[in-house]
Amino acid sequence: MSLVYLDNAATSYPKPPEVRLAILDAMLEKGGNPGRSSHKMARAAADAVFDGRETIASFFGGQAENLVFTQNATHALNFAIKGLIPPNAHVLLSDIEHNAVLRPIVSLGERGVTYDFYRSLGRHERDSDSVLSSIKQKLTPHTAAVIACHRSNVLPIELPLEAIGDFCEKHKLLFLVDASQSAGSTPIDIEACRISALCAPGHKGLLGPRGSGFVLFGKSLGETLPRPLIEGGSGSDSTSLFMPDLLPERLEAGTLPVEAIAGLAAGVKYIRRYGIDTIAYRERTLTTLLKRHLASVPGVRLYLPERQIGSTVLFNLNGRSPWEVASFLDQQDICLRAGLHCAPLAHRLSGTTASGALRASVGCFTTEDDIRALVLAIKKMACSA
Amino acid sequence: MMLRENPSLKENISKERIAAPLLMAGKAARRKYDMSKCIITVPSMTFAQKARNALTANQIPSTVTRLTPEQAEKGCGWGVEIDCRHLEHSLHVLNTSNIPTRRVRRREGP
Repeated sequence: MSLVYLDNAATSYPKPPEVRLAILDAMLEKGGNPGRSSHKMARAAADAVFDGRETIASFFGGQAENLVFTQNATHALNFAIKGLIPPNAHVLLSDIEHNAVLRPIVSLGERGVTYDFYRSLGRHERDSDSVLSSIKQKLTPHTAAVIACHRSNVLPIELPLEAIGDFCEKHKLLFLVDASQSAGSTPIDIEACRISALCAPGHKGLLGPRGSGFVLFGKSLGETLPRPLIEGGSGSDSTSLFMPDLLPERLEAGTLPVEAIAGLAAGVKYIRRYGIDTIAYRERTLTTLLKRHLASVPGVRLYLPERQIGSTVLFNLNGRSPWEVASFLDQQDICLRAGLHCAPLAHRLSGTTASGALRASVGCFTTEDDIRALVLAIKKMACSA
Repeated sequence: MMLRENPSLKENISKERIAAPLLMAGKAARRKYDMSKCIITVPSMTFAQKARNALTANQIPSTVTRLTPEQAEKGCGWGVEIDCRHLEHSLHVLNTSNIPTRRVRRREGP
């Protein structure tokens, strides 16, 4: 039996062959240090980095020089949150935020930053009015930023970026977006959504390798420059004691991971060629199929099954702990994730904080056979209960 | 010793002597050519790459160049090297492409 991988919300697998080749090519042919030396190998590495910047920035409607490479979305969110939110500010974040947002915000409490949550769950799937009304209710004269988890990593909830972006522009608020689960699965235009900072991992929907991610700053940031969290060599202005006052070098201290960047760029090119709408349609169809089949298994409890957003399915099997089920599935060569998924807020919404839950997440390369294999294994376990 | 007596070698030497001023003239010509290269300095490697692409899109040949500490204002820096004949057009292209520039330097020596 071949491996069934349904943990794409954690990291996507497999990667397209083009991604693997790009990584190998970067390692073999572009072995210099980008932006430091000026010999052939260093120039080739620098060109690979710039190609990555242009490819990814244009994919999200942004500018290459406003794209800062990071190791993952968590680093990107830390750069955006700690680099942009001023001391003593008030911040609004959604009630589905991942710990990658929640923990940095809580840590800013040391600098007098306070926060409050707005409601993400409307009466229907794309209920922007109820989200905006919740934001308005929580707005204070000290509110400086709104943070939105574009798509939950646990529940089928997606926040209306355009509506929130318009609101932020009107109220002169920073708008920070965590696109960890949506980048590569749904189109995002940083300028149309008035996003100040768009943060995403490279290794999930964008099909790049682990160790890749970015924060893309939008025009709405204006003259504001993010404060660097890490200082060091930048390849320019070496006699200055401070980081350069221009992006992206301001936030990119140290040697960049050229292999990861080349792989990420290849992933984005793959999505462009294949078509993001085609990928979204495929993921949605398979997710719906999975929900329908799981719902027919006695003892399976699905959370928010009526919603058709995203590519994750949260469920539990009566009388079994999610860890027990995940362990059983692992023995059947089926990979998915049990627990709280680093998202205690979303689990509070689904009422699964104490028990945890199982998350199956569909990806670009998931097949109907994968779905059937999971459902069959769950049926087997349900029958043996 | 044998070689010195070789008439063909003598011929070569004399040709070399004759050719020497021409070679010098060639070097001077090359230097003159090099002097017609200009470097537009920009704040970062990223902007140098962006500048190169913008210039290429406007049919202006250019190369990304690492500046020497003497050329750079704060130690190290980057620029795009172009033929000085294209300087005015290049600066216009960079300006309309929102690429910040710092200074224009003539390339010194071969």
